[in-house]
Amino acid sequence: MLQKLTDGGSEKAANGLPLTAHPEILPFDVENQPILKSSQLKYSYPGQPEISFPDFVCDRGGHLLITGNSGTGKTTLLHLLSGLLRVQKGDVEIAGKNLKDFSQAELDRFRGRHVGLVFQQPRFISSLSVIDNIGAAQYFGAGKSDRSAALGLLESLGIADKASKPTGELSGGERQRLAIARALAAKPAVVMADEPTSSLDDENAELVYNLLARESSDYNAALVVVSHDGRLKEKFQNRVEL
Amino acid sequence: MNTLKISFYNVLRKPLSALLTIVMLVLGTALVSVLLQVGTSLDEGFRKNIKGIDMVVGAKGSPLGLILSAVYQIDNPTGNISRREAQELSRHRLIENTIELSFGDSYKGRRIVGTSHDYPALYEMELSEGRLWEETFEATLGAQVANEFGLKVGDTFFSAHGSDVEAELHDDHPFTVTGIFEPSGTVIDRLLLTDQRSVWELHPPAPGDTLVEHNREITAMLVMFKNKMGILTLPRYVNKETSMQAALPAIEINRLFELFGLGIAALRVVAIVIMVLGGISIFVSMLNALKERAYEMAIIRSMGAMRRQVFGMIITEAVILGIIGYIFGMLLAHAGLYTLSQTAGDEFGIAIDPWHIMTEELWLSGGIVLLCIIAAIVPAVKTVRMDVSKVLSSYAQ
Ligand SMILES: Nc1ncnc2c1ncn2[C@@H]1O[C@H](COP(=O)(O)OP(=O)(O)O)[C@@H](O)[C@H]1O
Ligand SMILES: [Mg+2]
Repeated sequence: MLQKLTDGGSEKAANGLPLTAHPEILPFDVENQPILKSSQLKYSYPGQPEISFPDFVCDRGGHLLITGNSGTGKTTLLHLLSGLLRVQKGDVEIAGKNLKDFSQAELDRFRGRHVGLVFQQPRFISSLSVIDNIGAAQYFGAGKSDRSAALGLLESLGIADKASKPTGELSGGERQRLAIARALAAKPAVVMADEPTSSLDDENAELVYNLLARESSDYNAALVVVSHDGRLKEKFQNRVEL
Repeated sequence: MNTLKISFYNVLRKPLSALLTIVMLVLGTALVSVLLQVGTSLDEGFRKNIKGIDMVVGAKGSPLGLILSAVYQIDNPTGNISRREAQELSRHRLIENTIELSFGDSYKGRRIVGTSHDYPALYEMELSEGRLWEETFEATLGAQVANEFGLKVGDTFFSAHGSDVEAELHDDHPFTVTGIFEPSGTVIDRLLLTDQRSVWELHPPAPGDTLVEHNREITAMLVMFKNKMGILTLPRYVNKETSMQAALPAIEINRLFELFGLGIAALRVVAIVIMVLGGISIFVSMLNALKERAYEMAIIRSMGAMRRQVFGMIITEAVILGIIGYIFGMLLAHAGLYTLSQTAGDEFGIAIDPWHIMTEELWLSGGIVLLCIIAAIVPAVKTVRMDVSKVLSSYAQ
């Protein structure tokens, strides 16, 4: 009943399929590929007009800002890029792998392994402590948890002293930091953040952006932010407008 | 960190509702286990003691009373019968063998039975030390009696009149222990066996009675038939033509068990209802928590958990409750059985081994786990079917 994900050595992927049957899934070679590529992407919710997205590319370790007013489809795009929504038309490629080729279970695994997500509202598994939330992200993403790596991550985000606290006892700023730590827990190739600064004052918005930028570079992850927050525009050279 | 651990912490998150569920599962399990154990040992105990006894003859009165007193040594005897009349009956052509029993006296509440060596032979008793009684005022003890009072071969004791612990002692005639039986799980474990003449000497006949041996009285006679045809004619013959009463142990015990059986079946229904309520409690609390947990489950999916992992986590939560309920239910039941075996057990002549686990009890664990899985399936399917993207974005707006 319980699926144990194991790295590398095991014969089978967590979905029960032999890894050798899908050698393209894990791991991948990121050297000469853009980490993220979207082309001809369109999406329509049932009974809603189709949303068309511009083509864009994000290099390995690069930063990309996707802006647009409320309701233009930023969240939809982020969910398409991270495989939370299935692509209907067009293509999303992460490191040369087209997300269309994956089954739902493969998509889940792929996302866990290579994409770290930060949402506007930082929420966690409330029955677990701060460090166990990181452990869970490591487990689901990388197949096993690593306590010392988790502690190192909390340390670099300045919340190591809260490691064994329940997440409910964290302040707003600490929750944002934990959300960033969780996104990086499985050492993803790309971090995707949805409105990470929109509800914050100038000072905290600056702080959160700096943390996101610094930590993703430290962990060699590309950073894709979708936001209507105009304050972020000056921070990114690579921008796409919806 | 793994899904089992997350499930475990999720169970702990709602301690009160988990406790409520567990209490119901514990009570249901404990009740089923006790019913199984007591029902079986009653049944076994009663049938084991019937052995080859086809019929019991004693004084007129309640047939069940006669069986309980003469076979199980529980009830008080219905009275005495004439030994001569009993011996005449034993020469009947359908009767293979008879064993006379004379009882009424006791040692510290344990019955002293005057009989022949055929009686322990009937139950295939083995001696653990010493030998069988030969002379008057020699006694051979059941294992439980010897153990209870620390009596050994060569020890002496006085009998008391009647079965009362406080009764007056026959302090002019000490008994000597000649041997002790191995434990057998039969009625003999709780008895002190001696020669019939010892009992008669302690109870001299009323003035006017002649002291001819076959004129004495005995309490009851166990009868073994030559063939089962005896069942058809002998009881009616005895009840009609003699001043004695005949009762068939198999029939009386079946009658007794029909009553027991009804009670046990009713209690079993109660036990199962309690357990099913435990399952319903899992179902309801999980359905209630569905909405508030949706976002967390979506977060877990966004971290890379597959549907089957989320499904497994929810089922595991229910199984954890089931296993805890089963373990504590079994502990409760067997602690209760232990108390029962220390107190009431030997009074009713049933031997309960409180630490013996029956196969049915092992099956029960499977039943409870299955019940919990079934209770969790609908909430688990609903959780897995949710639109992760929708849940995540609806929260932000
Ligand atoms: N689950 C959904 N079902 C139907 N329509 C949706 C759903 N989610 C979003 N929409 C609609 O799609 C459009 C884009 O939404 P969204 O991607 O959330 O935009 P943004 O994040 O830029 O505010 C909006 O008009 C919104 O109402
Ligand atoms: Mg949005």
